[in-house]
Amino acid sequence: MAEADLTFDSLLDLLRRLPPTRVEENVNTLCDLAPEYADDLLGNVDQPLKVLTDSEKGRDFLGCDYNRDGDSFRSPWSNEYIPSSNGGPTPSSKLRQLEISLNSAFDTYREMYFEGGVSSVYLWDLEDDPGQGKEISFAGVVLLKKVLSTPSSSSPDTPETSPSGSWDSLHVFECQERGRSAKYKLTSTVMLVLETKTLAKAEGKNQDTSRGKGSVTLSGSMTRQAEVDYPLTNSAGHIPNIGRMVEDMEIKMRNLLSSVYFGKTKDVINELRSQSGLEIKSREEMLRAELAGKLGARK
Amino acid sequence: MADLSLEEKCRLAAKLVEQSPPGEINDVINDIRAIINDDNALMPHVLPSLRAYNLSHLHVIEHSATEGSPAHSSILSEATILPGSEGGEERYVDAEGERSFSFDHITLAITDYEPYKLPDEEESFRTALASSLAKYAKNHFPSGTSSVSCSQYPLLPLAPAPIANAIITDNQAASSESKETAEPTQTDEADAPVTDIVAEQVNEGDLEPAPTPITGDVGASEDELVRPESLDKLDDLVEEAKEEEEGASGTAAHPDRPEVTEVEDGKEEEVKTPTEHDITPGNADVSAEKVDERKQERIENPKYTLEIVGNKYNPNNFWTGRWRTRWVVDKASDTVDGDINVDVHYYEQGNVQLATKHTASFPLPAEELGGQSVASQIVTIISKIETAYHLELNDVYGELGEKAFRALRRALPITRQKMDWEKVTGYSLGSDLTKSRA
Repeated sequence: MAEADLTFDSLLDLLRRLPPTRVEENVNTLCDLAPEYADDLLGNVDQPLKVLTDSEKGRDFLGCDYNRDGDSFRSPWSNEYIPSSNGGPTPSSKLRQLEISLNSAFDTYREMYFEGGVSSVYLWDLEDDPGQGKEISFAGVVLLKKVLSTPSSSSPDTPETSPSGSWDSLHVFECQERGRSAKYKLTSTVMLVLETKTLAKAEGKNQDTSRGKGSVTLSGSMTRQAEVDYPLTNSAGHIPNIGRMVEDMEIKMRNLLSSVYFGKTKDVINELRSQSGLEIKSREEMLRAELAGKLGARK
Repeated sequence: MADLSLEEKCRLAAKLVEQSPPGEINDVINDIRAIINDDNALMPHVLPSLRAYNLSHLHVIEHSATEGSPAHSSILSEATILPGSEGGEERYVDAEGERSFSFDHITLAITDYEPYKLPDEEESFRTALASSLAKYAKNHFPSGTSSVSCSQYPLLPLAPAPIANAIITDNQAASSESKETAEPTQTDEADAPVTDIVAEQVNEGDLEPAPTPITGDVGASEDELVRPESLDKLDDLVEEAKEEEEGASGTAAHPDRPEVTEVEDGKEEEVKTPTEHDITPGNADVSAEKVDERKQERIENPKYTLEIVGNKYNPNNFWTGRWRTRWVVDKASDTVDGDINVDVHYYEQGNVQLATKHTASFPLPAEELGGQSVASQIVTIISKIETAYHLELNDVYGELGEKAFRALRRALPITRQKMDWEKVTGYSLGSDLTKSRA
């Protein structure tokens, strides 16, 4: 068993290292390499959310491992599996009511923060016999996705660099009601891809025939966890509780992503190549040391 | 879903190696080994992937100091494959150390050093490019390694007497010549240490063939027969044809042979005791004709490839990075074409990667300009493009961070306040909000 765990650790370690842009392809490869771990892998590794259409309700919804049954996905708008599937699980009626309200609330949230995109919330019961006891426990996932595509119609004469990208967030939580409060455990993952073009080339005399073009891709995912206790007066109280918890986490993660994507990786580039040149740098350092020495001497 | 055969699994797994982030190749291979759990089956598949990775990611090789040659680094790449060894028992060139070597991509072992020498025309341009590029790399890449390779066939190293003569003849002809052409570049380009290194290695390179000196007629022809073993079959055929020719001219030239031995002695001493050359010029002219009959393999307009790789690995802080640069000087098309690739991996509680690809090209400078050699002009333009690219990358961060990131998700709603979740159930659906905004 210990060896088996090592194999699974290795599978996860690989996915932590291989390019995030190729996660879907690589997860499939790893499922082929270690079929005995395929289910664990699919359940543990976050992949970009699928955008699906509930044509009956005329709305898009998101698909992931939590609303999947074989090749079908349950729509949060109709509670039906699409394409239809027999025997796919659905939440108990009490939980389905909460699911409908949460979908409506996060639809508003999506519009306010994302100004577009698609959202879906799915809940599932954690008890064998749901709805009997007064205190319930359940789990759920809040999904948000927005894609920013390059305006493909932009005229070819203007080689303007227009960035494209996508945001996928998954907030998986478990909730345990405890009298007049509820305990929530949250695991949030954001997958973010940003892409743009570069044009740098030789400039100056005799450089009319010089050319330059390229692409920059920043991609990846980050995961964070949190645990909170909120008061709970009635079952509708879950909506503001889950809402606040997800909102606070997304704000935190957006800041984190911003510092890693635009801070960390940029710092590493500047570690790899010194723009000003190391000669100038060391001269500046010498000057600084000299200055510091003089200031020290004056004291 | 039928399970794949072990063979197919190994093939698939080995492919993953090529996606490895900077400095994490061993981690990736160890993960794959744990998954496949059968090294004997796996490793033969990993070998070609590792080779491809090492070549495309400009694997840096450290050469320890040997007599006459200080410790230095060279780069593995498609461009540093020894011309003529492709497809066969592949060897790589250490141009600075003037030698080639075998490399085991799995154990990283370097073996079987052999001398490597370009014809002087190519070597002097290569050296000029290399010293300019080294200066640029040293100034801008804190942990950078640079390399300049030439696709020209090297001079045959363990050549029989007539060829050895030719090398010397070329050297003498060109050494006076190359002093004229090379000196201007060296004065404004190469700093003194670089020149020293080159001089020492010329010496060292010449010492290498010493174990098989040509001691006489018999020795020469034996060498001739032994040599083709290291060559491709095609070369064998060429060699055989040439041997026949040479056998004929060899007997005709027989009277020269005693002097040939002296020339060889002179060759070993070449750098240290130039006076000995006084003996040779007369013979050299004669033997030069023989060389023309048995001509060195040559390609017209060989390409010069300038490469820089800068690596920084900081696993304690969960990041690694690599900047790769490759510029190819093509005199046939009068252009210089380049690729720049930057890869960064940040993996603290996540997996974030930056991958950039940029290609650029510019016309090959035609001639010396304002005292600046062509080689120096090329590196100057390269440094300007890379500086512009580096600046552009910094701008790209601004653009992605300000525009794209905000367009995906706002930091706060337009109201500048967080959601009022108590009231949200009072709102109607978000879709209604969309309608009211429209």
